Amino acid sequence: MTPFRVDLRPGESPYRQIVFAATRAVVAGELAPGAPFPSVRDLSQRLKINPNTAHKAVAELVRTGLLEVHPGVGTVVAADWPVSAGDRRRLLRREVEELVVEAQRLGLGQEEVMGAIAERWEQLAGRSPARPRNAGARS
Amino acid sequence: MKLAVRTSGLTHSYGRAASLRGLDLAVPEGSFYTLLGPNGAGKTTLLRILTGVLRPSGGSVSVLGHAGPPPGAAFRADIGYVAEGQRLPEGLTLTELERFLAPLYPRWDAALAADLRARFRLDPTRRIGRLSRGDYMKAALLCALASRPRLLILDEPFTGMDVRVRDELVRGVLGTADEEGWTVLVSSHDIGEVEMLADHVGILDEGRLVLEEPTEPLIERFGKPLRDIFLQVTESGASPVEVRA
Repeated sequence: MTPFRVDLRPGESPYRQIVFAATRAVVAGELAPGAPFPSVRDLSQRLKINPNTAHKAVAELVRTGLLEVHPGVGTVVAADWPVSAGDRRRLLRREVEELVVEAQRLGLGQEEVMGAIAERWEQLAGRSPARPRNAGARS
Repeated sequence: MKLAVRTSGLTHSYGRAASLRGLDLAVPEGSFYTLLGPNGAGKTTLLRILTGVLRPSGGSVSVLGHAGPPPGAAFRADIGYVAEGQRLPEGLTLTELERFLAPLYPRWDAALAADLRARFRLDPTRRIGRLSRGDYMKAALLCALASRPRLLILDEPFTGMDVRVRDELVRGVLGTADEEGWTVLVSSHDIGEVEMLADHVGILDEGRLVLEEPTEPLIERFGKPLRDIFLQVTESGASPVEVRA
């Protein structure tokens, strides 16, 4: 078993699915800070995915700072991670706009959407011991 | 990009029936390349040409830098090949077979063979002819992997195997391929199994390569599962046999 839940769906990039699943596990506290993260080889065998895909996913998680490589120890979950102002802007402007447009297309009311966001937020943040470092460190 | 396998304008005919009609294949070194195609598309013929079992009728082939493929011993040692319905000497036990193969392969890895034997839970004292189908296939794969080939070619390795055996075969390959960075070329009509495995896909239909692309951009571009992409691009529209885990 992987230390986080991944239910790989065909038709979507396995790389993106793994990066997302690991990120979700970290922000939800399922993967505690300092917890070991599976090696590329482990990840590849457990999920039956291409080793190159596993490698790319781990490299991306290290790049975004969610994972840290400790020589001699392996890859572990970071206690906190740097957040760029650019990433925050992207979420608050473009991705929120996409969500709003899609909600309006589907005829969802503002309250329904806010309610769903609040529900998800609770689910994920309720257990989370890990937090991002302040914005502006990188952009 | 360095290529492990390259063919250009490859043709092959059985009598008057053309099985390969001008095939340009490029398998990058270090890739896990899956060759998909309906039955009769030419997959097995192509793999037999690459391993030197069959001669092409026309075009050129280059495998691991050998323009050829030449039948020499060095070339054979570089390729691990498990044919569809691969036969092994059935009167031997696995231990005896390993002892027979070891001196033929300069990079034979006895420790890996032992590791795979344990992982596959194979009884090394039982005659190979008395193994179950799944264990027989695992024994064949073990022999191919323990020779530490630079190119591993598997022709329909999952056909007829139950979920558990398929799982073990896949993990056996992944557990060794990662370390060595060798190239894996697998033919399959079993799309469910390979979607997450392959980083390169080639789709063969009626002796032609109708598509060849890295998996990731392919799936992004079509925005649908490999199975549906396969159905869309194979003009024959023949339904692939799909076995899902």
